[in-house]
Amino acid sequence: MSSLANLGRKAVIVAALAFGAMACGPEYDRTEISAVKGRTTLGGTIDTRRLDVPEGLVITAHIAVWNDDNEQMSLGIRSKDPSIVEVKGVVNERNYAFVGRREGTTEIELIADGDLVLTIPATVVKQPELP
Amino acid sequence: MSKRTKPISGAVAVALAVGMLAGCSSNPSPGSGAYKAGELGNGDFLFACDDGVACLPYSGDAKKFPGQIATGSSFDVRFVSKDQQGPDIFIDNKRYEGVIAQPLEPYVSKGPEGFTATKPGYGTIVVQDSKGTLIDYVTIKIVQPDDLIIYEAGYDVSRGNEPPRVQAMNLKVGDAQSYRVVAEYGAEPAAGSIPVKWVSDDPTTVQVESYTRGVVNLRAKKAGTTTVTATGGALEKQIDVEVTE
Repeated sequence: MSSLANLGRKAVIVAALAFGAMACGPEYDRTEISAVKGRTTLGGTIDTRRLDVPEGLVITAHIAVWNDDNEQMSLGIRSKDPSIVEVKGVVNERNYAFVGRREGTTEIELIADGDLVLTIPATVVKQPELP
Repeated sequence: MSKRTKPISGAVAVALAVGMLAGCSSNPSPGSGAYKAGELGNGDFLFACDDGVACLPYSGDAKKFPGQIATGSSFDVRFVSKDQQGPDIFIDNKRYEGVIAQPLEPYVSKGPEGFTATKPGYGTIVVQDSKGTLIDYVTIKIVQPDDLIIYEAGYDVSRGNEPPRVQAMNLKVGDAQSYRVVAEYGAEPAAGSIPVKWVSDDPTTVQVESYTRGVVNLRAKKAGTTTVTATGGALEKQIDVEVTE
């Protein structure tokens, strides 16, 4: 009888694991930010930890968000305060532009497959002095 | 035999239309220095305005995009993407509609005269479609002029963008003479059309007759000396004038 009970318990565990595996799809894994364009001599930078852009200028970046199956996730990017940093889609795929509207700080939110996956502190800084 | 207008065929009409469009295109040849490449590599920008030395060396079939633009000046830029310009363009076989150039304030603004450089610094002009998708952008250096150059309006700009400076004026009674002004920064002309206010200290000696499209017309009314003042780009330039019989 006890061997039957053990078998039953094992079957339940296997079934639970199988169900769990089916219920959990791939999840967010990482964000990659690369190919930042813009006038580097004029300042401005973006990575996963921070975004700096001078007032009245633009920097652009190629941004990809990956899940743990190593597949790209659909991505939306928004600024908490577009009057400080405005986010624009670019014609080139997965490229985004960050427009420094006025000096100040805000946050940029990355939403992958509907979930907020990364928040990047953003600062619009003074323009560099003219030479 | 009486002459009559002959209807043109559809093919001829299309050919004419294409020819006219080609003829209307005053764009410099590809590779010309008049183009400034967009930061995203999706096209190039051309400068345009119509105020003598301040504009013509950089406009039309000019050879270079200006290196600096005067604060307070007006100008225009045109976006050209692989021989396409206007409200609808294709990039990578995708059509973008309602394409327009927009300034990023506070360094550049847009009004009926086109763009205006409003603040010294680096001004950005973005090109986007009607959905706000960014197609490309260009950055232009905006300078606060440190001098004004007054020159004779008849100066042939094809000779260069540094015309002889008028230091003093000698006119005969009844003479009319026209002048223009170009702003200067760091001993280099700054592009863009700056509005200039002209005032004569003694309008009975020299009268400011008119000021249109960057050209002032002065008329010598009677013998004597006076000073005319040109004010623009937050600067003032005074010129002594002597009028003789």
